[in-house]
Amino acid sequence: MIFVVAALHCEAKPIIDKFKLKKKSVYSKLELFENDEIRLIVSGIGKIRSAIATTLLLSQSKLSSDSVVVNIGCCGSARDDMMIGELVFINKITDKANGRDYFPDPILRHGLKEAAMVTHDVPVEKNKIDQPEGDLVDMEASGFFQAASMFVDHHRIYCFKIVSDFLELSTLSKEFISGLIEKKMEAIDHIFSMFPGLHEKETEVFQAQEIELLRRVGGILKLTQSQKHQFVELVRSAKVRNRNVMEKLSECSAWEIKSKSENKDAFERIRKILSQ
Amino acid sequence: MPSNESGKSLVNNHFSHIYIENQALDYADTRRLLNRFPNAVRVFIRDYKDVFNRPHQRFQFQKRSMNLILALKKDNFLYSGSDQAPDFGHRHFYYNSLIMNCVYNCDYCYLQGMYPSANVVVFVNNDDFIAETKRQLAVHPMYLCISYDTDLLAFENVVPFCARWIEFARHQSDLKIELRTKSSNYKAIAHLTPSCNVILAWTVSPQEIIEKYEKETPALARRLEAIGSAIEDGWNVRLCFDPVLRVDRWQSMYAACVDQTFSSIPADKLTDISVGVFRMNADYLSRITKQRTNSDILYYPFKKSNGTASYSPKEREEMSQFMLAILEKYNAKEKIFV
Repeated sequence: MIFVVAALHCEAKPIIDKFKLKKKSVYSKLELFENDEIRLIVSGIGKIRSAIATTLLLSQSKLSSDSVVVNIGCCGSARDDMMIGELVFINKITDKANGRDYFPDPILRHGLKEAAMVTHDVPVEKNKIDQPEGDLVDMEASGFFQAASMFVDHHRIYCFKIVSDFLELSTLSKEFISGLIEKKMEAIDHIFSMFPGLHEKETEVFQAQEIELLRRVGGILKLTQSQKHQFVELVRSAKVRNRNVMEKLSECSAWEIKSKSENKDAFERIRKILSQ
Repeated sequence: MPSNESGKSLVNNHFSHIYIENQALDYADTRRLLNRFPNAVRVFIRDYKDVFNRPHQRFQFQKRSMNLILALKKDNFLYSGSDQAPDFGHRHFYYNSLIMNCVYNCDYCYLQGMYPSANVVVFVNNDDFIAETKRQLAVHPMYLCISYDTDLLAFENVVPFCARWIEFARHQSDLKIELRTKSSNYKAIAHLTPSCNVILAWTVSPQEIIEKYEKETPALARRLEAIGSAIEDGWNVRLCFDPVLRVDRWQSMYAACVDQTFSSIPADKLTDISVGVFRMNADYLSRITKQRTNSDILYYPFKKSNGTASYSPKEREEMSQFMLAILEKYNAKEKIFV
């Protein structure tokens, strides 16, 4: 599943249209759209709103090892060599207010220009800021990244921005912003299509019926909490070492344990079997 | 490497990005590395720890596309030798960390449990390491391992730390350095005159182990070629059968490996041989197994004692004695450190 956070509805609209996302009436103050592969939330402007929306989106969703979290939106550029409409991969995010830096892992071969981003608390004008520490300026990325990193590892957090202005503080129309994103939808679609190959779902050590067997054997052996923990670790180790562990465990499920001392003996027998 | 349907890689090449500490910018090695990777994206940082020590990183994911971090080492230019590493009878045993992390990716490597990141940190203020070593040499002689938390020879074409330290050691009568490697890149230092203050130490493993658990490393035959050339040129050479792994058919694998080794290496020309049964800091092992379930050797039912995970004392003894026996076929016992 790809989780997308966009600040404005006009930024989200081309994504909603492209992937045919359906509106879910879940939250009264935040718009949520989804299909089977993508969930998108519109956060509103500012890093606090972005953090809240990201938190809400991820805390209310079932995350797995292939989940990816993406911030997409427009930004201003402090660099003259950027083009209006350029789609950029953000490799460093600095929170202007507290000076902290965040680093998305640059592993994906995205083929885009890259830049460092500074997240400000208020809109900034080019001739009114000191030398900017980054190439690009926005108002959400640091809040988004901090919130997302509470839920997933850094390598699954992405921030893509489209340059909308050179910090002139002129008002940009919704149509103009949507148009910028719209023009980059092919590239965004391509990047989204790369995620499943890169972020493969990690194989679980135990299948559902094996978990059931573990539970059954644990119950038959009357294991204590501490023994249960050790038992699962022993089985996990044996399984990774291809020791036909489940066959051996099935045999144990016929054991009968009547007393504490029998429990102790049985646990030691299991330990020996699994450690072979 | 993951790729899309058309077979195109989904990940960037190694060192596609270089993080540079602002204060490391004006160093010759920084310039060298930036010239070496001219197309790398440069990301400027305040402190390497901001990138390297981030929480929530995935070591094995980053191994698919390692990046470089250029930094200044500010303290701890020397560390006292670890209890888990052999000191070969030297009283003042130290190691340093010129580079953090390794270009190889061995399944049993402790670095994946010790470091939060797989990115490679190169400390560009090598002169400060040399200066601190000189200060310590004024106090007492030193045995110094310079390639513990990395493989310097494998990285020699990128930054020539081996050559620099060999040349430095040559003029220090109280210094002996060990350069440990799995690399076959001997040609990178073959032009240097051998020094009696330097030991080139190669890790030797059975080919089956190399293929399965020492990914990206040179084959045994290529390591043996490099070792043979170094001996022929007159270097002190140590062989390290370390770690010895208790895999299925381990005896026959190691016996064949030892036979192959001494069919091409003149045993009498070796400085010494080191044998070490697999052991690892138990916390590191625990961290590694939390992140990966794709390597059976990490899931052996190890015994934990004094913070170290290893085989049982009985198994360790059996493995050590076996290695000793097969090595004694070719070498004097006094030359073998177990």
